[in-house]
Amino acid sequence: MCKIDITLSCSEASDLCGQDYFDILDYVTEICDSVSLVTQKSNGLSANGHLILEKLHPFINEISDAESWPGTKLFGHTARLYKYAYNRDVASLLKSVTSCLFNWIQPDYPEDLCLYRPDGSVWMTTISHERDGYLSITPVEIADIKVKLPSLHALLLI
Amino acid sequence: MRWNSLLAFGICLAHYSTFEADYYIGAIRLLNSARAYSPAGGGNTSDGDSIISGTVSPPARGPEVHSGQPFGQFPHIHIGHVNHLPLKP
Repeated sequence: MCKIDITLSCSEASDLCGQDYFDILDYVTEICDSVSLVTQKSNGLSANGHLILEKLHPFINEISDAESWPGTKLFGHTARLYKYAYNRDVASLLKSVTSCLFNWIQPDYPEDLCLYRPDGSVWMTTISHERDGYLSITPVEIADIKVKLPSLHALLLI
Repeated sequence: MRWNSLLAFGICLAHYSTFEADYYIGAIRLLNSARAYSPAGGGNTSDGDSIISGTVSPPARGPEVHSGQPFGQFPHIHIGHVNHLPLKP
């Protein structure tokens, strides 16, 4: 089915935080089976950032040096892309690390939390340093979100 | 008077964290690099990469694009808190 990109209407004044953010992470355990984060050398990683990678390591599927990931393409250099299995345990871990979607930014956190369906297609893209995020979802999924996550539906710029 | 100014400058500098001091040193280096590129009509993505890797010590990112997004669909770099310094493709 045709997917459409729908931007999340978050701004500096209205990050996606707290229960709304936690609800998304729980909701997508039924839809997505992998999640990615990136680190870039130029921005360093604090002790807290390293600790997060350590905690997530048991769930690692793949580590690669990537020129691009959902939402971002680099020129002439690469970033370290970490892909993890996504399930309720990982969702709990992510919730324990930070309570806001756009907090995922170096040096204190790995960056750009993205969620993928089992077929590899992207469900949610974030570009943390731009405070930008969007969902690539079908009309059926939009209808489902409207019923199950009205607070998220309200943030969709439809 | 000069000593007073120097002292005031020193006190101000002491208030900056290491990051802030690095940021301003990096900004000055970046400015010098940008001046070197400007007679040729601006930098391209390759220049941006060398600027990032060779002259800037504060947090920096890019060259990068965010396809389909209005703010970052063209190649750009970020230096510290500075947003979207455009580069020629």
